[in-house]
Amino acid sequence: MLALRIAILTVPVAAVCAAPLQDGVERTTVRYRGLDEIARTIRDDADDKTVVVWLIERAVGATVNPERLGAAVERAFAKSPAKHAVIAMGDSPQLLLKAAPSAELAGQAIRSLSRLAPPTDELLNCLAHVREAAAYAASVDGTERRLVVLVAQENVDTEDDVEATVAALRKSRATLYGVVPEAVYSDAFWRASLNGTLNVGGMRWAQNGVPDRLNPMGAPRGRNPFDDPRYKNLKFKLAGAESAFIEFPFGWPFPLINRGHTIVIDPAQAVPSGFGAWAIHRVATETRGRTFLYTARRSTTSFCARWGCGVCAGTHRTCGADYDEVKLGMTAPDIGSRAEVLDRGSRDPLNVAIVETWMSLYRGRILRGAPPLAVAGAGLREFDGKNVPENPLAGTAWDAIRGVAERSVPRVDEAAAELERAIAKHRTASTRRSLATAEALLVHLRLLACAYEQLAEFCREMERVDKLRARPPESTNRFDSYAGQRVIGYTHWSLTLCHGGAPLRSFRFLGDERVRARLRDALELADRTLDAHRGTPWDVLVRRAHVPVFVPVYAPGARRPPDRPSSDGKTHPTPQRPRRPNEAEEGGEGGGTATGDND
Amino acid sequence: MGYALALLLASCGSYDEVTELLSRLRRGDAKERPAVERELLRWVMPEHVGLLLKEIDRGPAAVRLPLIRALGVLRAKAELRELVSRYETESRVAAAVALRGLGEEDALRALMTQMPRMATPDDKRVVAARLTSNLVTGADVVKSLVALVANEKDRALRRAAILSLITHRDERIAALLEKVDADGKDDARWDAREALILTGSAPALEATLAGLEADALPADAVARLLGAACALGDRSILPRLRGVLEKAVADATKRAVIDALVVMRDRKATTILAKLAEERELGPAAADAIVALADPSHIEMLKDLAKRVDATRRQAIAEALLRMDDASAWDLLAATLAVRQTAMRLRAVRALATARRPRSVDLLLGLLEDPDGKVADAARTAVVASIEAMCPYVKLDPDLPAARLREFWRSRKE
Repeated sequence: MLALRIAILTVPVAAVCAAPLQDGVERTTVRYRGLDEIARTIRDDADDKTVVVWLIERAVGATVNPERLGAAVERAFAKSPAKHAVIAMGDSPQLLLKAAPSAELAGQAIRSLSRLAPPTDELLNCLAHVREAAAYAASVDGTERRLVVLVAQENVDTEDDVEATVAALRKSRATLYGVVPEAVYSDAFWRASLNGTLNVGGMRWAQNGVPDRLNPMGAPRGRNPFDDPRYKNLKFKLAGAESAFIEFPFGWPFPLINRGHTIVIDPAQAVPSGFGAWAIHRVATETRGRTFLYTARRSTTSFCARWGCGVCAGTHRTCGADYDEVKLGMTAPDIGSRAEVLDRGSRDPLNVAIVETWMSLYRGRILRGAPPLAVAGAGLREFDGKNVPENPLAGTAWDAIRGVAERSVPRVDEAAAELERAIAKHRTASTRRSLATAEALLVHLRLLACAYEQLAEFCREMERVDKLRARPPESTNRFDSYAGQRVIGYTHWSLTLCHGGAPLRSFRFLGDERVRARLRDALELADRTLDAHRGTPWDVLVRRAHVPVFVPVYAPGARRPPDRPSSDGKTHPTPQRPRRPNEAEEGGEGGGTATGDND
Repeated sequence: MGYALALLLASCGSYDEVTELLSRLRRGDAKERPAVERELLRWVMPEHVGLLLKEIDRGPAAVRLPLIRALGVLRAKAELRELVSRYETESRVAAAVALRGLGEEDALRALMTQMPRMATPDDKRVVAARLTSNLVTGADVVKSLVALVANEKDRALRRAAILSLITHRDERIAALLEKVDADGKDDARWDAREALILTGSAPALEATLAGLEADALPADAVARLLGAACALGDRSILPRLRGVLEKAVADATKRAVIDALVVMRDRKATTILAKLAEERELGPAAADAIVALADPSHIEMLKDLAKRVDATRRQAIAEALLRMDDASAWDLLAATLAVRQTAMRLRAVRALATARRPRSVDLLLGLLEDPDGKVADAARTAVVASIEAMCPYVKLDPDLPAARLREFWRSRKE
């Protein structure tokens, strides 16, 4: 095999200023195409003086099928005179094919990836590989056009130095084409997980007083599976959102939990963004390339089916929105450098208002995720705050939890009212993206206040049930069946607004008429917001708002799933890295929620 | 002592179990044997090899096959090697496949290379059944398959060989398939074309599309060729497929094209399908396709279609509309509940059970005392489930009398 190890070059950080961005409307994302069409599109940009360097990820987890990719490349470039080189991403880049004018050889080299062992490290420095591939492309004689095609699924969320990568590719006169999955909207996965407030898997379970044996992730109580040396001291940052800074709050007190209590995530984690990760997207745009959204790992079931939707019993066929390409263009994330994004964001009054709202709720210990930005003087600055580690709602001291819930309602109301005033005042002076984010956040805040009220009512019910000795005969109150049981914690499952707010208005939750009227108002606001942002990620974001249904957990009847590790603290294997949620999974080849017929 | 006795009894127990299973295998018919085989594979131990060989020798072939597979589970390689050259072809293939599972592919390779020279078509078919699983690779296997494609008379065997060939990588394969495809008199030409499409051959796909447009493909080949095109997932063919629906081609061709458009989820085809739904011959297929492809932008089309189709399709449309949260679904469901057929009414009840709306509960409450017991029972289950879903903090007794259920629902609605 023509395998050649190349040492990773350290490219000096060049102080090359990025070219001014286009008018904020991005035109470089190609959505949800099959591999054949992606290969054909790349071929159309290549001529006889072009070298195409295929930089292909080998990774643990989802990968693009090398057989299918190899066949697509062979078919598309069969009559093209372009040269091809193939480099495998791994612990270090591995040259599988030296530049040669043969699509067949390229196809064979790509197919050979399936026979290579995956890298030992599960986190790879993607941009270092891109720079390396560009350097190799520049070294190929007799070429005028250099295309680096990054084909990756797992490691597109790693960033070491985006601006240095842009500079390196410009210096090599190389263009980046990314064949990458759709980013999750405002993806806070790493920011939450590395700070121990990840609402994924069993973290919430362990913190609400529920014992480890009911913990779906198998992580021991209070232990963060990301407290592991392999996640520390990395030479690169872990990011992955479609924008330079996370825009929508994370660390919500009531995360989305499915009916089977097997999935626990923040609402934004279930929203496809319509774009690739910011770093790849930026480098591709700045080098006049493109980002092809291609999701190799996709689910065949709808959101409602996966989440055991309480409204449609999982029969809803398509739960995502069909994203409108024009609207996506109008609300595209700013792909300038981080400094530019910060500067432009500071001049957007609604963007500042969102940061202020988030910060006030974070300081009030309601939102546990620290905002990435803070208001400083007239503008914004980066904020490196720690997430709120402890959960004030844990345990079974119902009166204390009720107190926290009741005190939280006015604070959330106050923040929501402030944001509502800002929306009314700055509606015309802000970008469409900020407006959509602010309006979706307002819906989530109104429903959060209702969730706190539901929790307070739940605590009242549990205090009442604590005094009962046995279930009263003919009672239709579900809580009465917990009479005499040893309740050791509580959890909730989510009734999402997947079908909009209207169906939930006929549902009967806890509380008196005042509580129910307030919930109805919030659901009506959700429907109005849905109408205003149909066909955009904020449409789905509002549909992922939810009303939590609280459930006590009691000791004797708690059934232990057969394949879970025991709770003795000794027999636990090292917790696996939780599967990173990717809700951009529906659809045909390439996945995604937006429409993308290529005909 | 007691422990040793227990062990002895346990081993006797397993021996008896195996003996009993062997006699059940012999007594049982083809329907029962898979279950007995599964049980046998759980109990069989290395000490049973001799017994299994004795039973294999007794035959017949239907009993031999599970026993040979049991030898594979016991990793009895030496015994399996012996069996590769004994008994009928079916048993020899089973032994070779078991050896392949244990890492030895020579026996299966030998059988595959011998296949073109085997005496009877039945023998060849037994081996050919293993072809598509691509258990063995190599130049000799390809050579054998090429010989089979070139000389075999049996069409099914040639098809199996052609479809197996494309899973191998060899320069001769494309040329051979193109030759077969180009031969207008060869009855395997469409199999070769299908295989070429599956390998991504653009000329083969183009020839197929041109043939479709000119209505020059035989009816039995169209569906297979389009199936191959769908498997490739190339959506650039969709406009031409839609174009075929507007041309004067055979109904069978149009039906196959409609199926392909549904498989490829081509929502843009719904406008053309709506026109076809008015035709007598193609109407039902087009209506089914519209229901399968419909999204919320097609609600009006579905409502319009519901006026023209039969009760079964109307119910399917009602379910589709219900999934899209459209209010017109209720009237269609109510109409289905008014028909006489129990199966149709039960289908409507099942749809209502997943609706979780006050209107669905109202409709279901009206069926609690239905003269048809099956419908009444299904409605009761659906009412309880719906109320508990819509009032998540309520727990109802499933046997609550109908009057109490109605009263409870009325109080909740207020």
